[in-house]
Amino acid sequence: MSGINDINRPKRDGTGVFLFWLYVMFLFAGVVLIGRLAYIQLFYKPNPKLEKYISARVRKQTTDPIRGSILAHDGRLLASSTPMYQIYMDCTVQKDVFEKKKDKKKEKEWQEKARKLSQGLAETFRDRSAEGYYSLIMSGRRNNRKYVKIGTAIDHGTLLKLKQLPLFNEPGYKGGMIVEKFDTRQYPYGALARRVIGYVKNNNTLTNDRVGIEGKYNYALHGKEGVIWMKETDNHGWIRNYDSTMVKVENGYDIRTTLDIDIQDIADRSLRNMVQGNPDIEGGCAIVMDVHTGAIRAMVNIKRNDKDNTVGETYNYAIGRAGDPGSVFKLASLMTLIEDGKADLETIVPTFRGKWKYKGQIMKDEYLMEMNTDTISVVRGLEISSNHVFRYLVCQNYEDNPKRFLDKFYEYKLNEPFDFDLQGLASPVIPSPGSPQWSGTALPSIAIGYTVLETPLHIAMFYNGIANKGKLMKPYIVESIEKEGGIVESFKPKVLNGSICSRRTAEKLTEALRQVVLDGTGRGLKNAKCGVAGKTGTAQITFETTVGNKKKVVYKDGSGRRQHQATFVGFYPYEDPKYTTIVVIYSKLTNKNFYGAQYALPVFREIVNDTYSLKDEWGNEIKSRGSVPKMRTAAIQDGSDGITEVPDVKGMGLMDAIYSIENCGYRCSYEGMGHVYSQTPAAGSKNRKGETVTIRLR
Amino acid sequence: MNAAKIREATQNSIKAILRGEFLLRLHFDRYFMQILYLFFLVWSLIWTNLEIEQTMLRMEKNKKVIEDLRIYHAQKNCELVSYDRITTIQTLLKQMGSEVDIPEKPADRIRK
Repeated sequence: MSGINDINRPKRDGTGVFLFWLYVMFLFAGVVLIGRLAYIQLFYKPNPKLEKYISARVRKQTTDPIRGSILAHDGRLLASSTPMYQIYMDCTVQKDVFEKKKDKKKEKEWQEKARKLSQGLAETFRDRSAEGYYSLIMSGRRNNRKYVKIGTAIDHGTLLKLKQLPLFNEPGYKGGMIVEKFDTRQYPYGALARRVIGYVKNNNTLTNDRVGIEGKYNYALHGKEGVIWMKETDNHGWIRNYDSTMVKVENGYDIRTTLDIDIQDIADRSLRNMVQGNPDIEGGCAIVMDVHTGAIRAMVNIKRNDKDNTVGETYNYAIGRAGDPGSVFKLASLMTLIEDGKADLETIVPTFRGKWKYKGQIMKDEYLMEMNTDTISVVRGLEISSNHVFRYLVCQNYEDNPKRFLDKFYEYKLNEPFDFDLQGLASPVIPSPGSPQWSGTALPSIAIGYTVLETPLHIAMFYNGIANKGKLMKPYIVESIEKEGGIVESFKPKVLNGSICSRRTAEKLTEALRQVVLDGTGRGLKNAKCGVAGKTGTAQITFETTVGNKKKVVYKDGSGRRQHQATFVGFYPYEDPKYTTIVVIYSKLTNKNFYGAQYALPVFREIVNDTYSLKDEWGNEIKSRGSVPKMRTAAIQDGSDGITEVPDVKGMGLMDAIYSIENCGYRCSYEGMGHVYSQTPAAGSKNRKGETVTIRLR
Repeated sequence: MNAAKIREATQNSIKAILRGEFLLRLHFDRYFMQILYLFFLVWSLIWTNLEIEQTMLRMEKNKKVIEDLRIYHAQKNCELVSYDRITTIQTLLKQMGSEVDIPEKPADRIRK
């Protein structure tokens, strides 16, 4: 501070005084500025209304997660989310500017562009003519409409094309284009497995708006919304504000199912054709299940829409409809009889010529009435699906202890509404003595598959247990939850009952089911491409009708019309079963008879034949003999390389050799199979173009 | 330092400020380079911030491009997958007059 004390006074002049006061002014302004800065920094609390004008603008941006995909067993895409776009147009853009400036030329230019835009819109959407679109835009401009809907929802590719059109290729405030994006679910395989894939409507949990895998696994598929804050830059752009809090978006997980698209497709086509071709059919379902794991490889549900007579996947019969299974249930009765040592396949049963009296009631068997025999074996009874054989055996052996008989069904899990991967699995019903459904004839009725309610899935599961040598697997359709290809949660096969019967009993039943196909009601499958063991089933369905102003549940209405459930269930190849399949067809009210062998079996046969042909695991094994000539790594020669001589094709495969020869301008003839081991003329010969080069392969 | 000296120094300081000689009297001319350097640093800071903003702006634009490409890829993927269906292929083959259909028997396998 010593220098400050040594002040020499300069002489004052006019300029000096002026500069001095100027300096003082700046100094004062500086002091004020510094004081103001300190005040704003330390004490100032801006008015919220003013704050937005003095600080950088920020906005909250919510990022929607990408909904997870649903995949088939082999990773093929069943459902995926992609956005769609709806275009609107602000028809008033630049109108005020042109009017203020009285610039008629610019307005005319805009209208000319609108005309060209209309042409493009008409070509893209094809819902109006170019003139129609032009009228729409100009009418919107006259009436100051700022939100005119253009066409229908479009995909991203079309959006890019639209953005090339006049006006739409300009910024929004000039061209008026408004794009609204919304996510849609894409199903690359169309209606295939649509009911299994399901849907979610409006995320509403109160109503039945969540169906299938989409509904049940919505929690995993949906993901979590993310939130970030954006701030405005000096040149009016928007960038991420890293100083603010954020919530990271979490995309939904993918769900891998057990479905095999090829089998699903085959089953879908077969069932669809059957339902479409028979107006008396209400609908039907087919399930294909892997024997050893219980994994569902196909689940098809086809229902007829009576209004327009179209068919589609609109109701899941496979899990949602529990009805009298009919004759396919006889196998459960037979299993119980064999396991308890009450009967065997060779047990002889008296026929009573088809008229057996039980508790004062005559029980008829039409098959046996036609047969001129007094006795019948159990296996023959199963072959012809005799009701009497099973009614008689069950009543004779369990009349005193029906609980024992029914308890076995509980062991087979035929009464269990297990936790399935899809919502809406109907509860099966097996009445017990003392329950309201129990009556004097309940026992013989249950023995042949009436008075009980079973879903097609339960019946398939039971037959699968027999195919799996007594091991009852839980049916499942979701294999894993995945994220970006990595497994987050895996669902393994589950055993519902390790042994519903002995291995010996399972083998006996398999043999009996094979006999049904060879010499019984399943004869239509005798010549299937692989050996099938299975059982037909035909059940009459009760329905409600009005009799004398009273509503009654009946099997037959006043006009003699009935409703049927036709079933075929079995597994193949019967020697070493790989798949269990059930086909169930539901008829409308009709005077026709609906038999499992007539309607369900043809669908089953098509599924078996096509599935068998497509799976190379059932192909013959060829033992390699000798050695295959090694391929040389010679580059393929072609005419475009300027080669004017016969190319050297020795060691090449046929396709490569033909390609090479013909591209050099020669014709090719060949003999044999495999790889080229000789050629005439020799490589390097300069023959006339168009001449034939003969190659031999082995 | 007594009170008289402090008063004198304060008076001299005020006078020096009024004359515009305060910094010179403190010999700040000796730190002229450092002052320039500080000015450069501040200028660089502002310029870098602006450049960062520009880069982030470009990043946001590129994000949109990437998102567009992702959507385009997803849509094309869906279109392509739709052809990978037995019945679709059967229909297409039939339309083309081909007699190719599902094989009669499963393919033979060569034992490894």
